[in-house]
Amino acid sequence: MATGTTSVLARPLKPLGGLFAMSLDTLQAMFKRPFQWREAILQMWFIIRVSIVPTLLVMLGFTLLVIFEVNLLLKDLGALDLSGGIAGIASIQQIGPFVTVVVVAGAGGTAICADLGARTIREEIDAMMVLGIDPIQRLVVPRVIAMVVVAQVLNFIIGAGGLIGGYFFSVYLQGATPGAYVDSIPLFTGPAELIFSMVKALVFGIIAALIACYRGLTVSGGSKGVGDAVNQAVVITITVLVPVSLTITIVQFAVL
Amino acid sequence: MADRSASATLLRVVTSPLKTLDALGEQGLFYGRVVGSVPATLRRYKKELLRLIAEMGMGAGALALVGGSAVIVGSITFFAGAVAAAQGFESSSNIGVGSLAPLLAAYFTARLSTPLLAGVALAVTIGAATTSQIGSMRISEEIDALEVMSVPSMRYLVTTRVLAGLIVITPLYIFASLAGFLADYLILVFFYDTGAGNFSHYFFLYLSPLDIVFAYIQVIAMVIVVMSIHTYYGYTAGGGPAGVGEAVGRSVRSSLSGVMIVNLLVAMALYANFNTFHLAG
Repeated sequence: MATGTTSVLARPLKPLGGLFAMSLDTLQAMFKRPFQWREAILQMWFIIRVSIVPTLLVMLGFTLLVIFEVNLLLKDLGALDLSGGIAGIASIQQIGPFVTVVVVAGAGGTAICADLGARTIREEIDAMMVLGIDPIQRLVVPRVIAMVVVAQVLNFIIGAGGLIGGYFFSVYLQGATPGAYVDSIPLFTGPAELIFSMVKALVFGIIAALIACYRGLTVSGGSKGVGDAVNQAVVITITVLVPVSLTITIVQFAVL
Repeated sequence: MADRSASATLLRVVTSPLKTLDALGEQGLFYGRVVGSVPATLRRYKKELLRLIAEMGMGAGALALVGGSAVIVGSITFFAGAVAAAQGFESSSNIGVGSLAPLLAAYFTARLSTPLLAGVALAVTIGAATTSQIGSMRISEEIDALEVMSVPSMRYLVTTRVLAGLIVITPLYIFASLAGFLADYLILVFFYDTGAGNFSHYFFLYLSPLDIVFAYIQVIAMVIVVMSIHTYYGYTAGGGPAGVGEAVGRSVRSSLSGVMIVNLLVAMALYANFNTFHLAG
């Protein structure tokens, strides 16, 4: 009976504890010399390569759809001059970071998790540990750094792309005035909002990389193991990041 | 040596777009076969279909631990609705119309955040799990075994899953919508104190029932795309257990892109000439 209750509690709590333990190890290993520059840069290139096409397509579908539909609302209110302000809110403050979440977790996270999971079941990680190489320092730290950098880059691409795409949508398809579009952008979005957007991307990158690495390094159980691990990594990341995004948004409104 | 590598490069430049085209054609053929085998599947594999519906709704394996895909989809749309409500309130009180925030919440949650986030959540929960499942069947040669026993694997494994996804989406979408609206209510009434009466007045005044039907059509289109892409990548997985992980990653990437594009096109088709929103009546 007693063992029954512990195992019910232990099943969700053990991985959580493991994730936090690995995060602490990563933090500690981050300042250990030598830093793996080569691996970090290769990983950045790898993550950018797998996520640039989804980024552009998701941005096209998500940011532009929001701008399109908000413009319908503004048109009805007779306030189409504000379309630039809405595009700023959409692409810099809310949807941009949201798209970053989706892409960072769905593209970067899955790729990292599949890569590390494959290495784990081929026992390459065990071999590294036997050779006295710390997989956290050698593999996890460069990936976390790479993911953070890539998340920032993607966030900028999405922000800029959303504003430019929103211009074409609002001006050419929905009849907003070009000057009014550009003028109304700073109405809702300034440097402080941009900094919060960057903070969001930073936090998302760290969380997504840690969850993907953790699930990749703890793969077990036959042929289904890696596939399930990748699936769980992306589900967990998105489920965690959406409330995190809400929290940062509310902090932002309280501060600004 | 030099001209050999040059000719190899030339060959690669010529063949790589052709290979891409080839892969696209193969995917198209696969989807065509799925659609073609729908009637036969409905006739013959009702039991398997029912089992899959239950599995997708409740979730299998580790997903079931947290309440299945329903809870995950619901929680994602809940928090997305909360973000929409918070941003709506802050932006509208910026220009002095904070009490109109429920209007914005009704508009954004029903039209945008619920269908979009439900599509993303579907891709990563039900979709990726399907790829992982079918992929591991492929590499452990279970699919070949089915074919040897003359069970048509396409119908038995793929078409049933696409159909099950289409059936499961209706209750899931209702649940997701309610979660989003609940978040609007909680954030605006309890966090920002806009008043419950004000909320229900503006919320129900501008919550157009047709928007919810349109969003449902969007979600149906997305689920067809998600299930087709994910079953394709699972069915064509190869290269051992590591290959299944790769296939899951690739399927998530392409279905996320596909979902967004389909959603944009469907929304533009539905809303462009037929705006259900009328502030002035």
